[in-house]
Amino acid sequence: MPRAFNLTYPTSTVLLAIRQGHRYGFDIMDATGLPDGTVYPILRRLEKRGALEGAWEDEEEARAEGRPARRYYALTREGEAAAAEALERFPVLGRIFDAGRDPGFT
Amino acid sequence: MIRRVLFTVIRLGSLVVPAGRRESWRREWSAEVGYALHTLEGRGRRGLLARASLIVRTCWCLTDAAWVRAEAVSVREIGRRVRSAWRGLKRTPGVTASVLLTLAVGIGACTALFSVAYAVLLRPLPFPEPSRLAVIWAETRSAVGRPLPVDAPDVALIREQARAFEGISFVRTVTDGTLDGEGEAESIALARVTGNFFDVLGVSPELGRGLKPGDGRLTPAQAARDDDDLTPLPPTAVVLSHGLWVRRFGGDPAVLGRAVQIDGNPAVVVGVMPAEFRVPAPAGSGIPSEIDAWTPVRFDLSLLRRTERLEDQDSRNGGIVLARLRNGVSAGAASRELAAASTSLRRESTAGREAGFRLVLAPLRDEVGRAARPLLLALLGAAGLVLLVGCLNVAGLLLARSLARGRDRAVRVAMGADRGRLILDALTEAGVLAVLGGGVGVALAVLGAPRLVGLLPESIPRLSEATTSLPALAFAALVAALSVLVFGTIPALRAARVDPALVLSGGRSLGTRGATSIRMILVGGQLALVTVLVMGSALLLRTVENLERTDLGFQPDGVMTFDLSLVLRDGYRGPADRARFLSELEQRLSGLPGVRAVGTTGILPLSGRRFEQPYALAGQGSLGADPGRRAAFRVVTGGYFRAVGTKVLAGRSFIPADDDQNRRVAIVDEALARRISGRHPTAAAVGTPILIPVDGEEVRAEIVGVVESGRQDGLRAESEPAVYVPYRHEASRNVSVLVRTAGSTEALSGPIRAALRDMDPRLAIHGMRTLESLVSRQVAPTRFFLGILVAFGALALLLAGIGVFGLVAYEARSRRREIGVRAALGATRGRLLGKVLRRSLAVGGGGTLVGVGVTLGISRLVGSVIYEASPAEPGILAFASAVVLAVTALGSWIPARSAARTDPMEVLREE
Repeated sequence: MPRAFNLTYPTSTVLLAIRQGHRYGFDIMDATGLPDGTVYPILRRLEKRGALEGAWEDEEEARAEGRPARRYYALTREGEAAAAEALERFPVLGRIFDAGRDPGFT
Repeated sequence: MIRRVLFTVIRLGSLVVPAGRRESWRREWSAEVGYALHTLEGRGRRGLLARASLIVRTCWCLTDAAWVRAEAVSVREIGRRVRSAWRGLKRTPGVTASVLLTLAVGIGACTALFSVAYAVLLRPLPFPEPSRLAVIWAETRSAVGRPLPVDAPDVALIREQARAFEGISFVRTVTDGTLDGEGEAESIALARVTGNFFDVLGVSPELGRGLKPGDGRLTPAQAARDDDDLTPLPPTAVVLSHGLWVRRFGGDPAVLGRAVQIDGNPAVVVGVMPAEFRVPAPAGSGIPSEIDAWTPVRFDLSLLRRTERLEDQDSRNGGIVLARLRNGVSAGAASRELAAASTSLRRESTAGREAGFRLVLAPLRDEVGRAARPLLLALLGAAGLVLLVGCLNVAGLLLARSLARGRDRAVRVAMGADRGRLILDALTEAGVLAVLGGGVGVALAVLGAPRLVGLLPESIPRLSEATTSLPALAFAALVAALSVLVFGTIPALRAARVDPALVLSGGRSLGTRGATSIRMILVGGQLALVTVLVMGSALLLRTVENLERTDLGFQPDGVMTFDLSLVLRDGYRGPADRARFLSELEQRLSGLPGVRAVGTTGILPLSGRRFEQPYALAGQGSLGADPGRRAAFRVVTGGYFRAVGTKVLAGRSFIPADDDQNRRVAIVDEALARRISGRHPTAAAVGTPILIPVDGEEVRAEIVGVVESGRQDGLRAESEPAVYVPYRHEASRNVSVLVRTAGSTEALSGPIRAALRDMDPRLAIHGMRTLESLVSRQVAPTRFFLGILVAFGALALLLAGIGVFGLVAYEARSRRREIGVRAALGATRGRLLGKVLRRSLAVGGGGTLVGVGVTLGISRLVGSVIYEASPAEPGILAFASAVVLAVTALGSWIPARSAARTDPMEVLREE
């Protein structure tokens, strides 16, 4: 099935950062090092095209940590496939993101 | 505090997001920013940078919001919005028209100037791989930042040592020549270049071939011969410009192989360059970009290095080095090689190498535009200021318009319209205005750019390349987008702050007080910018005055000058012959009606040429021992000082008896005399001996006179010490003759030509012009800039005046009731008038103060344009403040007066 979005370098970086376990906006900005203004539009586009799923964090959990509930992003099946393709296309990203990949998180 | 700022930004952003997603969007950003802020707390000063970057990051939520909004809008929706914005604009045709006019003029002026600045400063040179082209200059400690030509022998060493270059070509600085053959002798601009010149640039001729290394090369014996040995040399090659080919040879392709004479020597035409080819002449190189013909340098540069042939005024060895870097070699690497070459050159130094000598590399494109850069950037800056004034003005107009339509919007909000929509509608309106205004502006720029090019001083290079190009269009789009940001944002944000309950219940329309203070700031801003423009104009006016009042050290009015090249195969051999010829010519010219004085010099003042040599004072070492002792050298005839109008302060001018080679004499200028005489009056220099090089030898000359110092190199250049020697002692072949007349200089040109033709028809006169024209050519760029700035300043003053008018009129209207009541209670008209005026004058005063501060801050940036004038001069400050306050007063007076005439009965009846 053809993808509904272009797998550009910034998009790939965002996908792989999320796959590595960075789940919310500012965390993804920090992890990717992309210019601040580009990350949210990528998230919006990926979510709209079905590669990401955004969900609100449980209020209770957030309150326990003394902060407001966040919106967490996770890869859908399509997003996982896109992330794998991204790794093939930009092998250098694998060295950045796969090396530090949390083994318990897939 | 920071928390409030951040959450306000998020709230603003949320207004843009479609209502359905607004809450979720706001919650997400608030959670992120709230948590980031929480982790920063308690970090005190250490967190300062982190806080700043958090603010920046938070501001990006605006683009996210715009993105979310854009995603929700379809093309059809956009079309509908634009049409509705256009309908809204049509409802207020007056405001719309004035906004469009203001934007069009501002954007048009900026775009036109940008297209010129782009062509001159930024556009790559029209040669293959232009970024690899560079100039090599020499620099010395006494002339840091003032690039000097490189000597030919030095070029040979650079060629041997530097590997970073694919090719190094050399252009000698002497560029006047005489073309003879069939028809009359003609003066041409002739460039003597190394055979690889065209290859380095990467250009091919349109006909025949270019020059080749080895073309016209002389044998060592021929090259080393005496300057006055005029036995025939083997023919050389010559490449013609398209212009010369058409003018002289009727564009005949059979010109190839034709024999001509150049400066009396045989030459064969080998090629013709294309019409569009212009020499990329570095600023200050003295090479005109319009060259008529190119011939090869006839000596082998490395031979020159071995023989260390000393320079003299005719075989001046200096020139411009144009080089092409090897593919992939960086400018840094090339510079390092040049530094190494400089060290070698210093080590094996010839006498008189100045202290701190080094070779410097500069990109050719930057060097071509260097002299024009400050002027063009200043012009562009001025146009930008006018546009900014225009934008602030438009912001004020749109704000007023949006206040007037407050009721409209209140109804929409009351009926459930989304506030984000209100902002977006206002921004759409601003966008439509910017697109239309920008479109008209670009049209104005396309029409105006050629006219602007016609107005610009001819000294600016590459003007023929100035057309409205794609980058200029991109620039116009960028400027239009930035304008929307400046003039659209504030009215758009104000549009959302509407309280339907208050407005519809008949209260004051909406946050009027807040809106008024925003408008005051907008008007104050305009007045501040106008102050900058007015002060700039005043500074330039003072600069032009100062330049024209400069003591030149000579009297340019009533002097006609022309250049002669005394180079012929069978004539003017030896100094005595040339001196005799000039003496006879001077005598004949003196006999022309109205002529007061005639003189000859090797280098004309303000001609852009200079010749510097070492000197020494007797008993203080030999020539070149003290690198600081260098002076400009000029050969002159006895009549020169009277002809040019330079006063002899002490001693005398040259007399025929000075021609005696056994008794050397010199005249020095005041600056040098002061160095010689120390604490004594400069006249004490007369009679003292000085060591100077003549014909490559050190000679001892007696100073017989002291003359005024003069601005020989430029009106702004400080006079440098100068030594004058009698023409007979170093009889330069290239001379300028000056004829001072009591009558009209124009009337002289015919008789001068006739006299010369009578004496020798084979000699061509080069560059007949008045001395005055050389002076005005120096002032022309500044004068032009002044003209433009005054026009811009007037335009901006008009706009700001309208802004003030609008502000006061609006305020007067909204305070009509208060004024009416005051009048009813017995306030006099004068008092009411004062009350209204006081506020606008305060705005004017504030604006002026800010403008003065800004000018003081930025005047350094354009320092090279300004001459001996300072923005802190009381005269300039007073002038600028007076102009700006007068415009403020004028703009306020009319509405304030009508407000003060308010009839209290009428107002109370309206209640």
